[in-house]
Amino acid sequence: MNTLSDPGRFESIRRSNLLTALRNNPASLAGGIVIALVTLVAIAGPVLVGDPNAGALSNRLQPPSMAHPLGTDPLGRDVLSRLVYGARITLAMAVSITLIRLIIGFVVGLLAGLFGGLVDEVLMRVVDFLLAFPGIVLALVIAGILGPSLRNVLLALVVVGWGSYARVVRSSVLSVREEPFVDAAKLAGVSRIRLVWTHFVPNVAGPVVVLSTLDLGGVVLAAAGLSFLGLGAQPPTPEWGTMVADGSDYLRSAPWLVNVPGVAIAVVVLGFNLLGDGLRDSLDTDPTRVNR
Amino acid sequence: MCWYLLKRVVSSAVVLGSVSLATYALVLITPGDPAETILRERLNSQPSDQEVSQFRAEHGLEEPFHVQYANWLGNAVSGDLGQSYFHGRAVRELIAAHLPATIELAVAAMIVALVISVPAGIVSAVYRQTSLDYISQAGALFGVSVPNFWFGYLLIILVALPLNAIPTSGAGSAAHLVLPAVTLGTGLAAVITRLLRASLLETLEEPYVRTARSKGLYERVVVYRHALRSALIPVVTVIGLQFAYVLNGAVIVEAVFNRPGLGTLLVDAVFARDYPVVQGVVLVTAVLFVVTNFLVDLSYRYLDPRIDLEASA
Amino acid sequence: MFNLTTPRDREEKSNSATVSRRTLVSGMAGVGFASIAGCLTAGDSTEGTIRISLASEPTDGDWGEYGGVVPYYTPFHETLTASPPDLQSVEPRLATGWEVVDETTWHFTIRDDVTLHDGSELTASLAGDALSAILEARPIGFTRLTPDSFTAVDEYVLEIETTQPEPATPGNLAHPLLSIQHPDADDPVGTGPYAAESVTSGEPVEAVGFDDYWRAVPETQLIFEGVSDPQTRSLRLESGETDVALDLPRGSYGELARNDDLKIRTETEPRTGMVMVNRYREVTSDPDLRKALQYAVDQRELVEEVLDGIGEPARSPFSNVIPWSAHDELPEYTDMDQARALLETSEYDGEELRFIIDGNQSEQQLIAQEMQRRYNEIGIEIAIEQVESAAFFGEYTGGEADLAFVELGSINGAADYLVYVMYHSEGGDNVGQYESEGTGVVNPGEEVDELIEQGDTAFDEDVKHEAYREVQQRVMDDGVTIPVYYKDYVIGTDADVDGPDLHAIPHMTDWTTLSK
Repeated sequence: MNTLSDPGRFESIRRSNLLTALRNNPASLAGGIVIALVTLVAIAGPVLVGDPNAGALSNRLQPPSMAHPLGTDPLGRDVLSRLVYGARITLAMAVSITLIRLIIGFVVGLLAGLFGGLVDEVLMRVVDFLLAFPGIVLALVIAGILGPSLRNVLLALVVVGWGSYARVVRSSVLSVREEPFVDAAKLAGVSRIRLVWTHFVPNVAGPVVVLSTLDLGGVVLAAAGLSFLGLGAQPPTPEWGTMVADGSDYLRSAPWLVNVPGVAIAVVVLGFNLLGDGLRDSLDTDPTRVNR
Repeated sequence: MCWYLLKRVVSSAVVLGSVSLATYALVLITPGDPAETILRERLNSQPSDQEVSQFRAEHGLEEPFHVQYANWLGNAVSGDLGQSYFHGRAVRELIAAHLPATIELAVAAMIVALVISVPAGIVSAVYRQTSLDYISQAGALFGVSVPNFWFGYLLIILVALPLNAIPTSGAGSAAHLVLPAVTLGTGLAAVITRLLRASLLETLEEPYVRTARSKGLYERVVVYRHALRSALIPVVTVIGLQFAYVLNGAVIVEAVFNRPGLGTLLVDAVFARDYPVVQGVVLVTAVLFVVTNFLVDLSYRYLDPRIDLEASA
Repeated sequence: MFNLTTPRDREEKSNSATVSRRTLVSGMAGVGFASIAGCLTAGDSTEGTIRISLASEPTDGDWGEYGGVVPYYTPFHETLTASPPDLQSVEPRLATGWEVVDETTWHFTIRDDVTLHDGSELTASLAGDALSAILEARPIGFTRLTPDSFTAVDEYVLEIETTQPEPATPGNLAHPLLSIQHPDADDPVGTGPYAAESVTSGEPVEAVGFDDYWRAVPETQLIFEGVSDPQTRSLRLESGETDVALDLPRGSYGELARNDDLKIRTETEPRTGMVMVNRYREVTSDPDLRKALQYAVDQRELVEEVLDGIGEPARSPFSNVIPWSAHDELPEYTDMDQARALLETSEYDGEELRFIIDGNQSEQQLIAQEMQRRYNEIGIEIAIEQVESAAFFGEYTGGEADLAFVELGSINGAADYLVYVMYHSEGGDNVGQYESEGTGVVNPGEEVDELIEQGDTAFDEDVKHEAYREVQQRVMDDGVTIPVYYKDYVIGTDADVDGPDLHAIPHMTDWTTLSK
């Protein structure tokens, strides 16, 4: 059941091997390219397009044209510019949420694994709860009560999402701890923490990388979803989920207003998923299964 | 077995207790006096001190936090979730009125999901690494990647508006259920397809399946009579788990189609700061999820006797 | 249980699993079909019944909360007086007439042929008890009705004493919240052309003609339903699920109007969408800055483009359908050069202003963003913040924002209370800050307070109108309000429905003028 039962399995994983794995899997390569492109567009945004908030009412709700390849919105703003600036928000949110989740999960998993006993029991019950409870519902309540803003969306999604990392890290620590050489090393006087550290870090790298790549897609969806419900960005921030929600008043007259950001979200999520799936297959590790 | 059950019941109770405490405390730390906020909204003017204290008394807001919480919990155990600040109705009543629409949606979405995912998963595993498999896998990948709030609108734009026959919002008839169920169901289908494929591939490698093959049984018989049965075990449990997760999607899908379900109730209550409703819905969700999880766990352990309840508990 | 299993054991177990799975699936399907079948029967409107979609649940709020005061929009409970569709006067309804005995004493003559829905006869003492009971149950300070006592001087004459001269009393009594209801009944019982057939909280309300109604008994039956989302109301109307929909989204007016199966009409309400500028916040306390904010807004363009032409570009905080609105005397305030010049003389130095809007109003959100763009053009920094409806009013009256987008209007025969609520230092919008900080939010000071009191207590219409016009002039000069639009509401009906006659206040629509 436990795919992490073999502690030596990830010993070989180094950064260069990750790249090799990526190269050998066309799907994850495609995902990687998509993400790289989106990141490039996000960084180069200001050079590529104009001010996302500029426009004139006289120019409102124009269908796609040469001047506005993706049309204009109800305030006459260029949808392409808003999309490009929105990419920055989407990526920044996704990466920071995932990173903070990872850090919290790492610390919690390490503590639970190292100390065991009551600490482990309490922490793991919290994790159980987070993993099983519908995350959007909880995040919705947290973000909603704190008030609509991107910061609160970030906070809410961090709070509900670090559980799987804690679990993966904890199982890695445990599997290393139970190894016979640990006992041998202990006898030899090597400190327990240092020992776990040297054997455990390479061990946990693979699953954590795969997990966070797969998580990124989910985070993009969740953040956009909360924004869609009105909990996220304040106007005139061009956040993609908010753009879909705002566009929904014009389904008939200006369908591009929901379709453009909708496709954009799907593409980014698809990119992360392809990359994550590919990494999982290449590294032959499935951290998501530990969570079940 | 008894020990295991007892342990599960206790830990479930702990989870429910902590989720209720957490939502209760969350309300406490939010800025502003709920009594004043609610009254301002209701009266559309500044409430007098007398009105505020009357409201506080009516809703038991004068008590210290732990007393408030204990009262609420005590009442909740006996099925009384308090009074909505806005609707002038009992929270229990509101939940009872909104739950059927969500259950309807969940069941319909699950049917859609199974209709798509079971054939897709089987085809994908049996014809592994053929174009059929790739198509099915690609479809599943799209299914998990497309945001359901956009997919819902896409269905409205592409299907409902041109046909002008399928209602795009609200609830009340089977026709109203079509688009939300398809929206939510396709996402679920993707998850189940991927799982069924993986699980089926794993079982096809099991020794007893190989034995069946070596006995010269037809591949079809092997797949359908032997492998599929055991491959479905994890799928059945996932279906169980997904029922709890459907609420995740329901929150958004109900918003897209304006279905008056539990998700809509929660979103509206959050925006209206109708805390008793928020607390009630979260508690009910937590109960639903704890119970489903528990049942799934039990059935899983029952279906797969290799798992020793004593040991793994 | 089992620690070791043979493939054979396992096979048997899987069999039982298959059975349970099958039962599970068929059970699920059963539930699905049952619920689908159950749904098919609901929602079909029968011949001669007209379904009306309102923006709020007809059973919500006051019906339950105050022992049933009155459901807004619905013709179940009539008031003593009524406001005609053009709002220019006050008409008799359950009272045939009234006279001013002295400045604080009124005599209302009650109709002698009125039967309530429970069969009891309406008398002056019943009406008096009804009004006292309502005022006791619901704090109604926001209308300027300050009654001391209700006394029946004979069977059909009701004496109302007010604590201060209250010339708007007949108009105030037209407020739907002051409809006559039997003071002793457990469920709301009043009188009106329609009686509610069934009232279940959260469910549509069926209305049937009341046989003993004192005027002609309507023949059509009505169903009132609440649909909170404007887009949904519009889609329900288009798909024929409802016959009448009120308050359709303004942005899609053009589209709806092109639909031959529908009749779409608009009517201006005594309601204004406007931005309030906090007079007492550090940066916005500068009158030149406030005037600059005022001049930079192009009301015409906003109404024409963002509201699809639905509404009137506003010049006053009080809609031009209110009899004493100063709309015609006030100038248009759109002038970017003037705005720049005013900003130049102001002490504004790039500080970011907080602009709060109600998160539920998509049109307000667009208008706020367009205003932000214009302000940016002349160099004023604005941060828009969507606030949940529940918290919005608190933030505004709590003085937590520099600018606040509000939509305020009257659902009364007399709109006097609006002036008081908005601009008097002790009115609802200002009283919180006035009491705690000694300031207020948008009240321009004592002189305006006095003018408001003068208008409020003037029995002479000309004096009242003069005082209120002066208030509007001063408010605009002070730059505490940027009026944006007078609201037009959009009502859509199916092409084979006739009526209803429109009323400036949609809550007061005469539903007996509706037929199919």
